[in-house]
Amino acid sequence: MRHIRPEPPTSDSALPPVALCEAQEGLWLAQTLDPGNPLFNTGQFIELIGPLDLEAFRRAHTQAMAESVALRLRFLTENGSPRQVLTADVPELEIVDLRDDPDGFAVALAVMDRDTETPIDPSRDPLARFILFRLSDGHHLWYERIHHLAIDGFGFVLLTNRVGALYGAEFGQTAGPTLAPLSQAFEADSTYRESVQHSADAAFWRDYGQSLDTPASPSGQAKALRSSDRFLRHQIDVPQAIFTRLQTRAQKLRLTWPDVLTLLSAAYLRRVSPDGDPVYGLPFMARFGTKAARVPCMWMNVLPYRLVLDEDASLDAELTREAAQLARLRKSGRYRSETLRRDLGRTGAEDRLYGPLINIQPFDIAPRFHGLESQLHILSAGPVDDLTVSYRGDGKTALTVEIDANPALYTSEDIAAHLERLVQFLDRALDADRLVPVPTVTDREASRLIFDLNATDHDLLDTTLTALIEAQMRATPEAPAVIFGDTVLSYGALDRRSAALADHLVGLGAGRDRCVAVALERSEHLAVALVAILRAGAAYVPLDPTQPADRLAGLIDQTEPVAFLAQADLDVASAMAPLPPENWPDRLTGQPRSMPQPDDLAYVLFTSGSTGAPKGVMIEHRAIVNRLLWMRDHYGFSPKDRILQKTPTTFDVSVWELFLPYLCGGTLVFAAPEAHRDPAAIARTIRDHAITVCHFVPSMLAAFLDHPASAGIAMRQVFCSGEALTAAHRNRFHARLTSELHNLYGPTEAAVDVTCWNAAPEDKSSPLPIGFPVWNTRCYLLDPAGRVVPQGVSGELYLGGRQLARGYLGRPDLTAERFRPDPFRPGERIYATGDLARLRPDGAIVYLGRNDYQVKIRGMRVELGEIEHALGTLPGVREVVVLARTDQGATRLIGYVLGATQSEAEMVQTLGARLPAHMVPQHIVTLDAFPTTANGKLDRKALPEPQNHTVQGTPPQTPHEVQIAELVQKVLNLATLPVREGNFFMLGGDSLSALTLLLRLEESVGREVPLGQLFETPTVAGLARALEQGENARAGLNPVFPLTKGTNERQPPVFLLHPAGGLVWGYRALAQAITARTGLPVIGLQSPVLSGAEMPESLTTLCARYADLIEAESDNETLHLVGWSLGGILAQELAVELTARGRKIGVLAALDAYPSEAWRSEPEPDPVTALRALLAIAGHDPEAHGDLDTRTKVVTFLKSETSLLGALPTEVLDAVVRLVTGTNGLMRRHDHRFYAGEMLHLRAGLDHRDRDLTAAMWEPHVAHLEARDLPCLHKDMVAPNQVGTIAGLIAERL
Amino acid sequence: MSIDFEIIRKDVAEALYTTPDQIGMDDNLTDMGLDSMRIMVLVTTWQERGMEMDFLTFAEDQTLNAWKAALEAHQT
Repeated sequence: MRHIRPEPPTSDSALPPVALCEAQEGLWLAQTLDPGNPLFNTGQFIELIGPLDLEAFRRAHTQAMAESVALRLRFLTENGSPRQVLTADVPELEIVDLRDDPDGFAVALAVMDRDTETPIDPSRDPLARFILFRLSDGHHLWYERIHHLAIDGFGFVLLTNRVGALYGAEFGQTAGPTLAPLSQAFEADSTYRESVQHSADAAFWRDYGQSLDTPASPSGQAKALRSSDRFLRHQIDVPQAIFTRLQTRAQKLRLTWPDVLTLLSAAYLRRVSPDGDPVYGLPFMARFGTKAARVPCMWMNVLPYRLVLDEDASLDAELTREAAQLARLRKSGRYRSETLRRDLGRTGAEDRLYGPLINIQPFDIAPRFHGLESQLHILSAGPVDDLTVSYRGDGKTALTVEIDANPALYTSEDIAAHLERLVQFLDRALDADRLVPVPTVTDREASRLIFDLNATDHDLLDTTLTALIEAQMRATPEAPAVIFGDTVLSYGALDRRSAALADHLVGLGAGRDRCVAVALERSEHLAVALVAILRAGAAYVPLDPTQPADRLAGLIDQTEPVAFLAQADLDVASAMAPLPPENWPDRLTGQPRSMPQPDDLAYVLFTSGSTGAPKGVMIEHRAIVNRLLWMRDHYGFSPKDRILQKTPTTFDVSVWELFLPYLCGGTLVFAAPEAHRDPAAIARTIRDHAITVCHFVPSMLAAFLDHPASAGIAMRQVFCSGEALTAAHRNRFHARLTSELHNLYGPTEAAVDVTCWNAAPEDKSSPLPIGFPVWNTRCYLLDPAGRVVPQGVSGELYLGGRQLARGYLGRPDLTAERFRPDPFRPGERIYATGDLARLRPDGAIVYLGRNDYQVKIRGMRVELGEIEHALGTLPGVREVVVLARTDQGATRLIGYVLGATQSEAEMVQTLGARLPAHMVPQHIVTLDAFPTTANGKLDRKALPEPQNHTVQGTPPQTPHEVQIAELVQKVLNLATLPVREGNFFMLGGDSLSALTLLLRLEESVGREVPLGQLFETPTVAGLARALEQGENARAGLNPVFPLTKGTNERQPPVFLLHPAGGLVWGYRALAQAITARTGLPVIGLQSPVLSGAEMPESLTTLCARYADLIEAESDNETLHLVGWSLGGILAQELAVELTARGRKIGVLAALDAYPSEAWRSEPEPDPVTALRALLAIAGHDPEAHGDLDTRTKVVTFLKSETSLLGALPTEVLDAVVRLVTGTNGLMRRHDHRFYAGEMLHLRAGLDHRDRDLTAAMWEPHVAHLEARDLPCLHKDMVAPNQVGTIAGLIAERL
Repeated sequence: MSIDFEIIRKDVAEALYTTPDQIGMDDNLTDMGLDSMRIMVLVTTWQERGMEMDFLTFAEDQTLNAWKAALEAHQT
């Protein structure tokens, strides 16, 4: 046996602090921005089975460590720039003996998980850790964890294999060459940077990169999120049958199998992310063919690759061409993508070059260990921004595929589904000549999406609207059928009058599939006319009497009606003489009328075509009967219902308003003409006539809810359709009215509505879905090639079933274009709606917008709805519309709002913090009301043009803006002063110049500006505003003090209750830690006394006030409450109060707080003691400042410090002093109410030596108590070194 | 088991769509168009045929001479 002595790597020990290589820079920045994120730890373990020679392993390990210099790096900051230095700590192998532990494996896994999940501070902590777990003499787990700054995936392989080789050498095998020293990597870096190849590569990538737009993401989210501190993972083995065919196909094409696999994976990802640019990140071993090849270090590069694929063309040809492209990219693959981003000015967080990663690692297999069997288990491969598809194995004996994903974007179910679909896609694609016929979804998914979700078959009498109406008229002749003002028409009267007119119309030629035009205002005559037309066996054609004569004449020409029912004076350019109500006969002629058949036309309704002439949609009786009987039964209509008719007859919603009353024996109540646009008139009609059911277009509903007259109205049901109903509409509706609210969706071409959603008060959906299909109706979501799209992916909505129209009158060409054969049900038809939608996991359909009205900004289809949602959250804003206007080829987003209380600039600023820059409207126009069309729908065309500002930007204005603009100019070496809108990163800033800028800014404003702020608000104006806000927050003593933004604003917030001084500033570290661990937003509550309020009478009244504030701040059902010291008492009282108000308390945590009785026996603190408590609040140890015994001395001391308290105006400092003394009294007098939930109590374990303060004191006041001690003093409870533990305990309880 | 250098040479030539005599012993194979992915796949093929050297041997220096030297060093 040969023994190898570890040789200290002399050449590298002298490494001076050096700049980071570009590969490390991005990682360093990401870790610095997110210090609590443990995902920068990469980890794996090797399972070694067989008799391991422990000492031989230890020696091999020691030698390999000595050769791996990068593991000894630390990362420091010098003048704002990161530097790496070498330390002397060579990582040692830890050995944990679990041979006596029956659960050894689980114990080892737990230790590994805990270690991998512990964030590393690369400036302080060792970057690597190695543990050998001994489960038995023949079973070992070798754990390796290394910070990503020190290693990449291939470096891991180098290191691991080296240990294996050195172990083999112990048994006489060749050890092979030593690992190369780190200095070689630095040499390789600088050699390359100075080479001709480098400038050639730079030119190649600049050219390639310029055309790359916002990358597509299967998450469907435009927003680029910072990677989360966890990731989701699903892994499976690729069946041998698949990789064997992969090999065969690759060989046949003379391509490599990894390239074929990369391309097919990209093709799959494109299928599930149709929006955006299909740009994928391909990790590449840039070290290949360089001196860095054998250096274990961080050297990986990620190449942006845009998939170019014609699914219709020969797959072989496509693969061959794209494989050549991959080889081309690799040829220039040493050029770092971080540098490319800088070259392209795309360094902003949202300006990523690529979406998902596709990583093929044929070399990543278990290392060989002499005499042992080994298995590789990957624990973490680094942060995941979006998702990463990784393949490991040689592709001949084994291949696994795993997907790691960012949990902020995906659920575990999403990832499992992607994996299953991907493998099936590979399976089928490998047999395919062309990709077009290869389905995206699995067979199981297809069956659910095509059939299960459309299992709407419902037996229905095959009858006509005419027959149903006649039956009702005969059944209840005395009942009121129609009310218009003071006129009441009984069913009997309606029967007689409509029969007389029907006879007359038959005499004029009315009958099967003939039309009768109607252009009447709302009145009982309209009711009579429509019933008469149906009884005559004809189809009615509603026309708008207010339309221009020429247009009316055109429609009359098109439908060739047998009669035209309208007022005598209606001008239709002599197309046809109106038959006015006064000339209608009132007696039967006895003319025999034949009943229409279910497939005869019931009505023809004109919709405005996007191009050219209006299209007449022909609806048959069978279709509309299905729609009306579904509605009657589904919503329980009865003779008691009084249905308001207010929709113009030219809009298909009117069809159910006009006929459903007769199908349930209820009453149709006509609103006065023009009343449908007047909220007050509608409210009056609803009240006067005891309306039970009515319809609103959402924009009209919003106006109605805004109007004082609508307050307190109660109805049975309100239906909305015609536009997108939003979650905000629903919430306001239920806050104001008492009624069910239902969202319906459907095109005129499918008999009014085809889907429905109950927008009940308890519904929390946002966006609000259009729901599920109605009876005998199918909804398919298909991609442009007609393939079913998976759940969650946007597709065009196609409709099938009984409600489809016969087609367009006189336009067989248009009919054939929009009504096509149903690919899944032979012999049936589907209608292409042109609407985009996606499915929620529960199958509910979410409407996304028009297919033919796509708004693309920088290549990304922008969801106007998403922008509208964000606008709707601005102060005061009630209603919003966002338009994309295209002028001279440039698309601008313009927001229109009602009720805004902020200026346009303020709103743009706020949105800038919530939306990606390309989604922030250039203009936001505040209006008093939205213009509407004749149908009461929003008239987008009539929205005013915004005043044109200079798009280029405006010069800096405020002192802060000027200051920042000057600094940016200096740091970036710009020729001119940047404008207010100038984006630091777009102006050429990168991560390093960002640090310089912030450093300079700190020097000039005397205060730290967090790096994250620059990424969040990178414009001159944005940064200036953030600075000002920071200052306001200093002076800002508002009771509600948002401390951190959560990762998701809809999540339940954590409220932090102030300690005795009334301020929550000391909670910053705690708030950040809570958000880092949980993603929840954190809001502080400060004493109102600070902002001028009187001292409250009791803690109970104070907490009632806080409960009001919380209710106003958050409509989340669940809330979390945390308080330190006095704040703990407040939190417990608030928990009781909020529970009584119907909220749920998630976590209630008291940090070293004790109930009031603990203090009653204590002497009242004298004013000086109270003052000295201020020192503790300001972060000083009062015991260390015994000399500060008067108010003046304390205040002078605080003022002399750069502490926050010292910066307070005197009157506020006075308020703090008052609070410290006053609140103490309140606390002593407080009577605790019992909280029927759990309290987490954390005690300062190193304190309270003189007093027996324990968690148990809370036992009488809470139902459950969970107590922990923290190793700290009371004053340090919320200090940075404790907050991680506290946040962790809170996170565990969520 | 081992692998003959001539096999390596032949496979490399085939991957470059040429004949062994067209490749100089000191030609940089990457410059001739032998992509890293292709080398990786070639190495796995050779490993299957008994070669014990790993991919790293081929990663640093891409000439036939370097590979031949590595092969000989390994076999002695």
